[in-house]
Amino acid sequence: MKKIVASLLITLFCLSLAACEKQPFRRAEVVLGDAVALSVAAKGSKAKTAVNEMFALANDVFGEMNLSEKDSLLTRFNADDSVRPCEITEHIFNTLILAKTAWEKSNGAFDVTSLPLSRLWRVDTAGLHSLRPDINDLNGSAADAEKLPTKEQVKETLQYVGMDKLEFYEESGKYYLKKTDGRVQIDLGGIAKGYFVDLCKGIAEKYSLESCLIDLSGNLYLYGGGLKSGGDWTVGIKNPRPRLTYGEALRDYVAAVSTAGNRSYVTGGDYQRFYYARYKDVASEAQLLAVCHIINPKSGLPVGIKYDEETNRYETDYDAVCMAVVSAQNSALCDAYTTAVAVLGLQEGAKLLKDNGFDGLIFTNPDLKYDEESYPPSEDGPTPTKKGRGKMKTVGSWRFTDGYDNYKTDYEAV
Amino acid sequence: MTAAERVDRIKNGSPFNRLDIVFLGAVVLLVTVTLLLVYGGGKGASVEITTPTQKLTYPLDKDAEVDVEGKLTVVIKDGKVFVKDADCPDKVCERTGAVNKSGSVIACLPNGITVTVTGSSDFAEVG
Repeated sequence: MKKIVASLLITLFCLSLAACEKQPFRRAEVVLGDAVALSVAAKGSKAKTAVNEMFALANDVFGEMNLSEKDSLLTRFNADDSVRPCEITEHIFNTLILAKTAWEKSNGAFDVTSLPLSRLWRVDTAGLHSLRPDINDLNGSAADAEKLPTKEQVKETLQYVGMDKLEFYEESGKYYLKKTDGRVQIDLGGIAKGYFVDLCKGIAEKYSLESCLIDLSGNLYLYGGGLKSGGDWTVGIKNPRPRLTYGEALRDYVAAVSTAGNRSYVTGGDYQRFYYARYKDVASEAQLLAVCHIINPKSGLPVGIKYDEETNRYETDYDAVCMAVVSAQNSALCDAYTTAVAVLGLQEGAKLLKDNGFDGLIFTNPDLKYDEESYPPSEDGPTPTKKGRGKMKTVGSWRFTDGYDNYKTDYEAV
Repeated sequence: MTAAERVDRIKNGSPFNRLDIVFLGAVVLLVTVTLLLVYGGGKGASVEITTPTQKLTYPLDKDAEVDVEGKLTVVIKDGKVFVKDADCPDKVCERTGAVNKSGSVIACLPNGITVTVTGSSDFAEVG
């Protein structure tokens, strides 16, 4: 009898050991219609409660900011050309305060009032949906570059871009937003994801999770130790080139870094949300213009293209930033600064991060390195031939992991 | 069992009777199976497809082609998973290419579908 009891105890002990090593609670869903994909994995006794609370919070935070939603507060604010104050949610108010900080620190490079420019260039969600590149016919699916916005149209639109045209304030427990020019339109998409991820971190703290990975469409927050080991995490940074990966091809990593937890990692760049445009007399696919979603609110041009005064045409700016990775404890500002760095460029972008104590990896366009004949790669086509390298600038300390070292061959450290 | 019998049995080499051995064997088997179940799932062992109405799970190590509600074709091949065809307007899910690491997500936002590699790892990715 004693032996039976002893055996049972041993069994229970082993089972409990096994239970300690159990899989994290994981939930991944597209939230808010078609706005964002949220994926959370958590370990801890309250993991499930915490994760479900994060999903519920997503609706609270983004619901009224969602520009794909016809009746959301911001959609109505944008459509309203009057300058009367509009009552907003606390989340919108908090996000605007963070946006203003980022706008001031970056000298206007991050600006939530750039939406009219995004619409002009058709790099807002609706525009990008209608102009997506077709891998089988890049030239054919490219937009007509002659129809890109003219210099005059850009100049006209710039008149009502600028965060100084927004006022927001709190009055007896309510929050208000007003525009000083009826044509002003805002999009909080460049910072709200980071704001939300910061709130999720608060939930992870509240439920004393051991470990939690929060991934909101690429805005990462690593809470506590790694999900498997409880120690350091490894963050793989995907290569921004080639822009198009299809089928069973794995997009490779430009670098992977090991890092302690309780930090956010955010990337931004020209490689995911963009369309191609071309001038009719340009036949080569290597000379397609990539019009990306990040717009410089000062020049009014998308990052990665410039205007040539002599030919009166847009052309690729090979010095432009193609990807910025920003890391710090505050995810909202990381989010905004990825955009700011892309707009400011390699040197000024690095200065912004350094001055504010953010870590960053900044990459410039490596497209020149591809042989025209072999670019861009297709599912069955040849592997692109390298001709040169982009640049990579490191701000702060980064611990690179061996085996993920494309940054050594594809980018020149500066 | 008297003291003399017990001494006798120990002398003969086995403190256990037949039932004890069967029982211990069962315990060892149970523990082994439990550990295999738990540790064996450590890598990105399965693919979870979440749609607005259902959740589907497939092993990552078995090739398969899944038609997800007529909207996406998800292919599992050689330990990788990718979206082959999507009826969405932006095709970002197709452009993501294949993923194979636990925690990697392919999202089809217009259709509200996510494809996630599950499992426990210290790896996360951005970009």
